[in-house]
Amino acid sequence: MNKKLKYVGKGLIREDSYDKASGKAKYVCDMEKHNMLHARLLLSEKAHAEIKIDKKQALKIPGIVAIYTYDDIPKIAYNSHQWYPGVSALEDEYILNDKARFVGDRIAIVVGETKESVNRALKEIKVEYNELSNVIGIESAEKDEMIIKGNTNLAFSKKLSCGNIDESFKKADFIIEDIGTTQKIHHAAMETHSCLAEKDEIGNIIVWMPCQVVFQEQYIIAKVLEMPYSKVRVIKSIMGGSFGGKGQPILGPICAFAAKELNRPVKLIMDRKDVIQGTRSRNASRIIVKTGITKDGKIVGREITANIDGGAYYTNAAAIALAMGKKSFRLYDIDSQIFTGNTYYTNTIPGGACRGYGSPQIHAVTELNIDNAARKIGMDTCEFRLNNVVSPNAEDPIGAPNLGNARIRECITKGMKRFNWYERKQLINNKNTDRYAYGIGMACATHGNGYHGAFPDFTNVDISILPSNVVWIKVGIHDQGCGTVQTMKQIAAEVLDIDPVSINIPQADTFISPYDSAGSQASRVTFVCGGAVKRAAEQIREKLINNFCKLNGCSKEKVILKDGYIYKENSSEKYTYGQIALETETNLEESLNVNMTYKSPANPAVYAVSFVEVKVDKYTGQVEVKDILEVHDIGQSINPVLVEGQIQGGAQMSIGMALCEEIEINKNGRVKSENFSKYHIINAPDMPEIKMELVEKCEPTGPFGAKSVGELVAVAPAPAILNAINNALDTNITVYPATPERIIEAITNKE
Amino acid sequence: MHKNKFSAPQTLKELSKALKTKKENCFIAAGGTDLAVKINKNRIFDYSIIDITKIQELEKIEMINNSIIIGACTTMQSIENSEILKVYAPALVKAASKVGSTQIRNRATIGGNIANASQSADTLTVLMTYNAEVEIINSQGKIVTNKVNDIVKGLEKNLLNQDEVITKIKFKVEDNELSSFSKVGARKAVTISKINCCIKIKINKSNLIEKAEVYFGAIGPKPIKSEIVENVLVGKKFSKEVLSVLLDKSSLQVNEAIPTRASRYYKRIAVKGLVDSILNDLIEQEQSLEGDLYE
Repeated sequence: MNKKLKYVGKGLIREDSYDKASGKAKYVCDMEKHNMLHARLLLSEKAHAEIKIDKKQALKIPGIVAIYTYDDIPKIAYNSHQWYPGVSALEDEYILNDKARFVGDRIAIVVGETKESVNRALKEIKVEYNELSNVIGIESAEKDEMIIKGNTNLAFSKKLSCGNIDESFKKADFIIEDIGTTQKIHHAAMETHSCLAEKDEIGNIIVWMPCQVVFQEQYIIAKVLEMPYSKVRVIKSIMGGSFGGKGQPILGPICAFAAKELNRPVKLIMDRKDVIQGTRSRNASRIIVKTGITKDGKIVGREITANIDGGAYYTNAAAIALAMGKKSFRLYDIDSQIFTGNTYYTNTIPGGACRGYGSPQIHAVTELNIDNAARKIGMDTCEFRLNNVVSPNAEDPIGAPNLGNARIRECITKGMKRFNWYERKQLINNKNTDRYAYGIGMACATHGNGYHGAFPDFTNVDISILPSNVVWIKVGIHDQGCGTVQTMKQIAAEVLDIDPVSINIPQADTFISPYDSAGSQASRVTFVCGGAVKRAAEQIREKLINNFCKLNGCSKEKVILKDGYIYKENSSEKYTYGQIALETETNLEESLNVNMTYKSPANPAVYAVSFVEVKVDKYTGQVEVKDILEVHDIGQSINPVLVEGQIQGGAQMSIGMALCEEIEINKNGRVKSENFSKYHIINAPDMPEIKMELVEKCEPTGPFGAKSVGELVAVAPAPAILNAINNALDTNITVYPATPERIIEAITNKE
Repeated sequence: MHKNKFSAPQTLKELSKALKTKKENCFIAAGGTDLAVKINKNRIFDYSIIDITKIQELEKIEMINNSIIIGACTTMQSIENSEILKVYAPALVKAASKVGSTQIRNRATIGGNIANASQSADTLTVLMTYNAEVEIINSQGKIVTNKVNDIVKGLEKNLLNQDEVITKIKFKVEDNELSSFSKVGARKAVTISKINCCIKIKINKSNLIEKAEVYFGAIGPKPIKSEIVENVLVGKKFSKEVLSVLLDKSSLQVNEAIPTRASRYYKRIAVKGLVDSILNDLIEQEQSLEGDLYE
């Protein structure tokens, strides 16, 4: 790509690093307000029950100011997945619910002068549960014996298809079928959910919280409190990770309600157990894949049925099914394919966004099936994939946006070379001992770049150059820890040829940021908001030059912008941009400012391939990832250090999905893995060094050629690891996570 | 409202005095790594704490004649780095090094690990293998000695009286003794034992195993002695050849200990991994012993 890039493509240090590393950064839990109250939620301990709450004793605890239950709240239902009113979805949640529908359901809020009084009161609240029979797991939901709401537990069902599946299967020499399951996963952000709300002196509700979509919080809060949008100010606070977990409003509406009722600031914090049980999780799924192939290794047809555990409320029932379905059509070139997605209500934690949004689940099973298909005809798994992957600029077979500059093929070939694929395949078995088995495996994955083609995908930017020589960009972005602000700065810096430290980009605040249609989700920020910032920067650059010409009487062609200075060619008289901004105000009677709307022009696909080597302990069932290589088609990295951070963190999550992470829920609906001693994430001793390769071939519709990376990173490693385990043991494990127990079971069953 | 009290005696005498007023919801903190979790989890708001980690004499590791004496407040980290223990009780060093995280090991103590009496406690398995004893002080300043096995009930229950505190851990060691420990949890490190094992053997001059002590942890309320496995070892030549029968008998032992638990299918195989690792470690220890002899 363009070799002359000056700021884009550089691993510049992000501004917030020092504060975060030194502990100076202030998160919501560090914030204090005068006269502030503390609050905590009471979460249901039963999966499905009528509830009667006796708060008499608890109210006697000194310092307790209020305890609210369903009886006290406005009876306005909402759907926390809705990020703007145009998303149609069943509204079935209240800020406090009338019934317990899962262990972790919000049934009361306790507000008091101190944290201690609140904790004491929580213990004193008596909840009488009249337990109903429950629905735990997809299979139980399918039976429709106990129906959670409406006439059926099937909350959403839809088919997506292209070609003619029956005809295509007739042409197939083999049909390979696999059934796999994926688990509920906790996001495990270091910062737990938190929120601080207060009513200001003119009656606005101000809410500080780590969130992904301020306008979604604003919409839901305004709706449930029956306030105008314009009176609700949501400020995205510094965030200690989200991974989708802070996407849906959980605490915002109830915290705002308490602050409004009590007319005092209220800080509501969850502990780890609350977050694991009472927020959202990655949807569990049971996926059936049938792939028809020819002897020479071409996929002719595929049928996928994904049954999804949607949890107790509707939330993302439709979105998760469609997200899984759409990905199925964008990795391999398959003429005939049918995808059926069914999302079920269960009495478990509701589904929500979780890094990858359906991609980790669908690829987790389809990529194992691809390996089995290749194995069936004795073809190398990489070669089989190379035979079938999509080509650049291919059309989406079900009418979604064009795939763009899709470089999956390069990812595979580049990875095979770096990983020494053929040689290692030959030699891997030589390492085996009585106790240890070694294997290699790989998997591919795809993801998107925003909502274009499905939902409105635009953002507004207000960009100014101030007389103080600061470029001030207002755009509704939420840095979740990925370095979003730095990414935007480097894009603007590149356009304006100015040091990124002179650029200030406040994060989303509904009273400051111009409206953004969909928030920091769906892998849209670099591609869409970055595209918007680039366009806005181009427009203000144009204006800067025009004004400079007007003020100095010269022609545009002779103006040079370099290192933050603007000057006439061959002139030694250089001006800062700020000087021109001041001149603009003084002599042209206007601000050096641009307001604009940017509509996403496309929704190209991104691709990744993961290659791994594993060592499996046949006695303890423990798996060690000995080597892992991640190859990513990202168009152009804006900041390669941030990209590397994404790839490493994504791999950490995906390895966890493959081997140990699982929200375990027993038949009574109780969450067994309620804290980090029982919910196992991959920790430092188990974390392999992540090797990586970037394919940077420029996506023409992205800013400087960039496309998304933050979600796709969490997709391919998991199936690559299971493929490697199956390669090592000659098994077909398709149940996630492949815990030691499951590995020993597979070995025992094989014998 | 109740006022929470905190005291930190600096001598055993002060400790006895403090114990005189010990009532329900007065806890002994010997590192506090389990205690803090319990207080939080059980939402205990009104309590008192006697912190015994300021009593310096409870932090020593000594060897007197053939006896190892470890102060109850010796941290896992100190045990892990003790030169005496590395030579005379390598299994204990290994067990201590596998407890929790680095941060936990910097605070967690051996006395606390015993008194907490978790079914998954790592050092308990080793201490029982060494037939260790504990010295206990009470509010009268009286000191009694008891077997670790006799004061640990398991499942987080001990048999100490309300006014009793463990002060020292003692066990005997012999020449030509080898020992090792291994555990398997959900992951490599910072993990709770699903099953753990300690083997201690004494080898005679003709390289025969003269004595063997074997305990398995986390397959019962507290570690269990495995005569099945001990019997396999005693009288055998010490070499890799005992491995296959050792593996089978270990599986058998697990089956007998937990005949009905769902986890048996996994644990009876996983135990092979423990025993394999332990045997490899013992062979390594023996070779380095031999190396020392030839030097």
